[in-house]
Amino acid sequence: MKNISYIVLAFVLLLVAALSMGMYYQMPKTAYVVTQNVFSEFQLSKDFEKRLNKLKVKHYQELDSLKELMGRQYDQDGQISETAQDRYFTTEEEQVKERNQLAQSYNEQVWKQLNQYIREYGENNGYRYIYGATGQGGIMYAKESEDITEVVIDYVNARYEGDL
Amino acid sequence: MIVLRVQYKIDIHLKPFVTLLWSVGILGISTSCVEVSVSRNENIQSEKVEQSRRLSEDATMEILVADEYISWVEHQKNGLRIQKAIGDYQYNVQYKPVEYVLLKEGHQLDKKVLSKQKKELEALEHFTLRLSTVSQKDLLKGNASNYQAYQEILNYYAYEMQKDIHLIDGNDTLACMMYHFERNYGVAPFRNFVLGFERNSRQNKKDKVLVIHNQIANQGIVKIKFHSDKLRQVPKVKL
Repeated sequence: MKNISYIVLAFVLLLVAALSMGMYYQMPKTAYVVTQNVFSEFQLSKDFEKRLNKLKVKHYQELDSLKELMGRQYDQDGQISETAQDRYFTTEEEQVKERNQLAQSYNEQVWKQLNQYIREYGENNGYRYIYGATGQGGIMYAKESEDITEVVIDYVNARYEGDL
Repeated sequence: MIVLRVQYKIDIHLKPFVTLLWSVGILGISTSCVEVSVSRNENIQSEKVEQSRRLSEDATMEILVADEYISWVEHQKNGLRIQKAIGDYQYNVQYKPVEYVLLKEGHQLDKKVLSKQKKELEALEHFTLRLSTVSQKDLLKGNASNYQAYQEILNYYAYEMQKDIHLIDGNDTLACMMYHFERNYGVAPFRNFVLGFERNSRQNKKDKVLVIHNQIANQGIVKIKFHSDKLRQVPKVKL
């Protein structure tokens, strides 16, 4: 009789062990990424940044030429011509506006790709949630072991470059 | 008698632990059985991979007939056709070896004309880009709020996108030399673009990356990489 109860006990224990193992593997995974880091380390962001810097240099060269031209244009009182000054400031304003619009458009484009790749990463690796820690109160605390920023950076860059 | 009682007490106290150890033992055995079956599965899997690699090597060794060759080139696993989706847009790119282009043109030519045509085609690297949407929305009308917007989108795809497509061939970045937008007037949920880039004989053994910055999709630069090992294993075909 006792032997039977021990066998039953053994099976119950075995069942509990198997169930807990099963539950462990079925548990939904969650993790977080530091969004600023993912964004800044994403190759597309870097590519766009290079383009913006090129445009900035081109704009500065244009402004330099206008400044030089402005220095040569005086009105009857010997003052720098107001028309030339207006042209300089209007051009500068337009350039800043153009750069800001382009930067905003680039940001949107980068996020479209990042969202796609991070979603794919989450689906392929069985995550239920991947939180984005923005440093503005989105996540106040998270264990460092849950931080998958570096892995995600590697993944999104490999997807962008066509390696995956 | 006392000895027997002590023995009995020890038995009573130890038996649950023994049982626990026993169950852990069974669990261990079952886990190792699972591991054995997993490793056996892995072995089978690796054998399959090896077999498909051998088959693929065989394909590069033997000379295929036209239909087999076309299927081989178009099969995604052979790495000459790559698909990438970003948001709602789907980019499906087919790398086209010269023989494939000739076969798809479907001419029955004599050997002399064929070799002349082949030589002409060899001046370029050929690709077909198939652009579609996951939501099955029309590529042109789907994003246009009015007729003018539709015309702008059409104009972009028909002429302007050429400047937004490049090929990174090894260390060189090549402009798109041949660009043709195939209009289908909405009868299919995709649009094809025939692309050609100058063939760079110096970079034959390097990866080729098609770079597309579609201004209508507004999703940033899309890169599609063709790995050199895949490009090298293209089989021969009987023309």
